Amino acid sequence: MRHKMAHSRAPESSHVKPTFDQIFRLTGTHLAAGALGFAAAVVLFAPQPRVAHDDPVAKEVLELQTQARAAASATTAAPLARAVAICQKRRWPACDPESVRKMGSPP
Amino acid sequence: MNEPFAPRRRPWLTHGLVALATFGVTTLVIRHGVERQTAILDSMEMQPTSAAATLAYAWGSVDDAKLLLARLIALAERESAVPSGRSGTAPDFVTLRRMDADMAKLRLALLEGSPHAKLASICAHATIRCTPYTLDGLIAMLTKQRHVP
Repeated sequence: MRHKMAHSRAPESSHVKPTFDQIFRLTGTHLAAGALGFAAAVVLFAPQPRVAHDDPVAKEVLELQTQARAAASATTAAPLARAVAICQKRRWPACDPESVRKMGSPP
Repeated sequence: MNEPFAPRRRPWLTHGLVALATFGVTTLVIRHGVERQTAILDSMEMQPTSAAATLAYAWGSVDDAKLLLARLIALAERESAVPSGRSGTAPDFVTLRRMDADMAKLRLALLEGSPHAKLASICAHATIRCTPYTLDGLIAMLTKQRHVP
């Protein structure tokens, strides 16, 4: 019976009062282990950034839209001139200043 | 007093468990986030092409409008690498993308001067509220959106 009780007791180390240094080290190494697990998961499963496909037509049309909107609301002539230039470059059917202003107006 | 405080046998067991648990939780969080965000990112990626196609359809040359609408359809109909994990409260971005694709198909068919039967066929397979009774109204609306010949 006494033999059994001796076996069922907790290990000797649990009776040792830990020093601050030991607690500090053990906590630190566990935090490091957690950080390692986190880093491994991020490296393995983090989504890759999306690469934007270069679309020159859409880019020009969007610039035309931006300039036409600026022309519709601004008093300076520069956005209108730029919008008309892009419109003519793309050979769109209505590139007069009035139509370009309408392009930039809300529907 | 200076006896080791950690268990003598397998002193790295708890470290391994902590690392494994953090790895598992982080992996689950990343996967859940990716599932939720993929559909939204797919929709966001379409927006510049959608804006350009809308302007080109309204004011642009037929060639530009056709090109941009075709690109929009391709973007809207592509299969996502990750299945969308949609919750009940979130908007269904996959359905919204399909609706954009249906509208783009109708616009493209109108630009190409397709017969009414083809428009009716697109309408029949569409996710938008398109029936044989509303098709003519939809065609009239889309025709009105194009300001140039």
